Amino acid sequence: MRKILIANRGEIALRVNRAAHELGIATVAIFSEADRASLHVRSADEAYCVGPGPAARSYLNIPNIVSAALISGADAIHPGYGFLAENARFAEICADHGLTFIGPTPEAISTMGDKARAKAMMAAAKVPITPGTGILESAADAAKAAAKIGFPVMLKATAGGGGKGMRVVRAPGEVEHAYATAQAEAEANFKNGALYLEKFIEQPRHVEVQVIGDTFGNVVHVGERDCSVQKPSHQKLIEEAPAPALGERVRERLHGVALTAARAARYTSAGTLEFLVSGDDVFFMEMNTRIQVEHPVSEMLYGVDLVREQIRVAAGEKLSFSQKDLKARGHAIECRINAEDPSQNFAPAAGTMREVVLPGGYGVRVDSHAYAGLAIPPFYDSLIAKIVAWGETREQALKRMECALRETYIDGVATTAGICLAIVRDERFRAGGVSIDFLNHFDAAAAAAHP
Amino acid sequence: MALARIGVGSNAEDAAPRVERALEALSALGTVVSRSRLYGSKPWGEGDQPDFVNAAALLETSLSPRALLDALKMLETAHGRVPTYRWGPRAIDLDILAYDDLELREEGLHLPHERLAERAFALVPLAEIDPTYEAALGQLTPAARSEVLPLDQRIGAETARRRVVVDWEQSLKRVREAAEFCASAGLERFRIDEDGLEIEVRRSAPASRRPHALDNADVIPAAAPIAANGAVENEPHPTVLKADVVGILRLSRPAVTEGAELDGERELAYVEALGVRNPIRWSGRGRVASVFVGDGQPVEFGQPLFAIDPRA
Repeated sequence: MRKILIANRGEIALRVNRAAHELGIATVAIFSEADRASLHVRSADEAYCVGPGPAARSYLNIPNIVSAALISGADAIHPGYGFLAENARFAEICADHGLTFIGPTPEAISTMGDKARAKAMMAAAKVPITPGTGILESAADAAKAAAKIGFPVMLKATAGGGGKGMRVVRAPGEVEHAYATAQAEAEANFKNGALYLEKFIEQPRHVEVQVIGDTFGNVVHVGERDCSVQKPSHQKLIEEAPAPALGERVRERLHGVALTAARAARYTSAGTLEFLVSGDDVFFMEMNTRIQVEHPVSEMLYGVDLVREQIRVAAGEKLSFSQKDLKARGHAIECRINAEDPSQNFAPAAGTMREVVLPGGYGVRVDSHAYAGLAIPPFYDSLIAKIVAWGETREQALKRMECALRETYIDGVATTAGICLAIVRDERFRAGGVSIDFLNHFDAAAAAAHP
Repeated sequence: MALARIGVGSNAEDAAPRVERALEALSALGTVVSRSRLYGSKPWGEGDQPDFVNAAALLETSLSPRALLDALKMLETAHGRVPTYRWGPRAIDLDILAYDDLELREEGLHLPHERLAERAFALVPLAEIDPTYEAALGQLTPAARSEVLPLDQRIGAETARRRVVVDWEQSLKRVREAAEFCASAGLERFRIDEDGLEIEVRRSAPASRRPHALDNADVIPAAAPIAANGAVENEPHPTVLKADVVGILRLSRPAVTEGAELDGERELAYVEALGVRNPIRWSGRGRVASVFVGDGQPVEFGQPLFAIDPRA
C-alpha cells in the first residue's frame, strides 16, 4: 500500500492522514466546495474537489471519489466514519476498480448493517439478543408480538439510526399509532419503512466492545467503552473506558460475547459491538462495521493505534498484537465538542469560530480540525473536537478532563464544551454507571449557565 | 465562478508588508486576477508614516459571498495576529467590496460594501484595477481623493520597489501574456507591476451578446463599465466551461487551440472517468480565448477547462 485516498472530512480525515503518514503512506484528500479551507485538504499530499457542498453530491459521490482515487494513483480508500463507511456497495465498487477498501468485507458490512439480519446471525452464534421479532407485516402483527414479549416494547426501523424510526410502546392501545408514525418516519428518512419490535429495556447502559481482526483469522477485543451519556437523539456525547461500576463477570461476558460475534462474522477490520447492559443482563444491539468516533478512548487505555492497525490489516498484514499483549492501563474519557446549542435541544449551531483554544498537557489528547476563522458548513455533522483525558484512575481522568474543558475556549459558535464540563462535575456521573436516559434528566440550561 | 472585489487595509507599524502578504494569501481563495498598488492615506498628524495602507484586488472565486467572508475572516486572523502568547489586535482588514453585481443586505454582509462610495481609501485602489468604479471615484471631493495616494508617490524612492534592467524580448512576451490573460479573464483593464516593468493592457470593447447557457458553463461577469452618463453598457463575457466530474481530460480531435473560431455544435474535450466519456460541448459561435488544461491532465470538480468568447 503506497497511497490512500481518505474519503472523509473533518477530524477523522486528519486522524487517518496521520496514521498513513506515520506508516510512510502518501495520502489523497477529497473535499467539497464548502470545505476548500478545511485542514484536511492541506494536510494530505494531494487533494481533489469532488463536488459542491451538499454531501450527496460530494462526500457521497461515489463515481467522483473512485475516479479521484484512480487518477491520483491511490491503491486504497479509507472511508473514515459516516458517509460511505458502511456502504457495502461502495466497498464492492472499490474492489472492482482494484482499490483496497480499508474496512471489513462487503459481505460483513451488509450482514451487520441490516439490524434484523445481524440479530439473526448473532442468535445463531448464541449471542444474547434482546427478545424481539423479525420484520413486521402490520400493526396487528406488532400487537401480537408485543403481547408475547411483554410491554414495554420498542418499535425500530431496520434501516434506522440516530433515534429515527423508533417508538417506545407501553400499552396495547398505543401500538397502532406508534407503528404508523415510526413507519412514516423510517420511510421519510431511510426510504425503507420496514420495522421490527423488541423488548424495551428500562434504564439500560450503553456499553460497546471494540474488536479488530485480520485476514489470517485473528480477532481480538480491545476492551469496552461506556457510552451512556447520550443526547436525546441517542447520539453519544461522552464515552469512557473501562465502563465504571461494572461487575467483572459482566465485563468478561461482554468481551467473550463480542469475540464470538466477531468470529461468527469472520470479521477482518476494526468494528464495534454495541450492547445494552441492565443489571447482569447483556443484550446485543448492533455492530458498527467502521472505526468509530470514540475509538481514541480505547487507544489511550490500551496504548494501541487502531487506525494504523486497520490500515495494516487491510494491506494484508497480521495484527501486530495478540489478546494477551493487550493490557488496559488506567482510565480514559472522551468529550465530544460539537457546534451545537445544548439549551436548544442540541440544535446545530452554524457560524465561524472566531477564536479556538484547545487544551493540552500530559494525558490529554485532542483530535480536531478546528482553527480560528474556520466556518462550519451547514452540510455535515457538527463535531469540531474530541477531547480525551487519560489518568491512572477514573478520578484522575475526570479531574484532568475538567481542567482540559476549562482550558477550552471556542468563540463564535455555541458548543457542547460547557455542558460536558457540567457533566464531568456532576455527582451522579462521577459516581459512575449512569443509564442512557441520564441526559434527559440533566438540567442542560442550568449547566450551560455555569460554564 | 464569481468576480469579487476585495479591499485590504492595515494600520499596523509594518502595514505595507502585511498588506502585501494578505494580497498574496488571497490566492488561496481563488485566482487573483488583478491587484492594485499600495496606497497610503494622508496622516492625520505630523510624521512621514501613513496611518493606513490600503490596496484592492479582483478575486475570481467559487466561494459564495458568505463563505468568502468567512474565509477572509480566517485570513485576517492568520495575518493579523501578533506572534506572542496573547492574542494581538487584528492588524489587517479584509473586506468584500463587491461580489459580481450582487446586491445583498444580510447580517454582517452588505454587498456592495455599504460605505464604499464614501471611502476614498477603498475606492481609489479599487478604481485603479476596476474602471467600473471610476465614475464613483468622480463623486468624491478632490480633497478626499488627495488623501489617498500611492505609497511610492508619497514616500518616494525608499519604498520597496526594485528597479532592474528589463529584457525587451521578455517584456514583449509578458505584454502578450497579459493581453491574453486580460481577454480570458474578461477584464477591461489589467495591470502588472513587477520588477520595474509596468504593463497595462486595456481592452477595446466590441458590442456583443450574452453567450448561450450550457450545462457545464459558467459566465464570468466582467466588470460592466459605467459610461460617463452612468449608463451600464453590455460587455462581452467569456464563457468558462468547467469539469463537472473528476477524471482525466482528453482533448477531442482535432484539438482546439487558443484563438480558434467555433461555429455550431462541437465537442471540445471529454473527461474520462471510470471508463465513461463525459463530453464538454460548445454550441454556437465563439472564439476560444483560453485553454486552461492539457491533454491527459487530471481534472477535479469545478476546474475551468476553456474560456470562450461568444460571438453574435
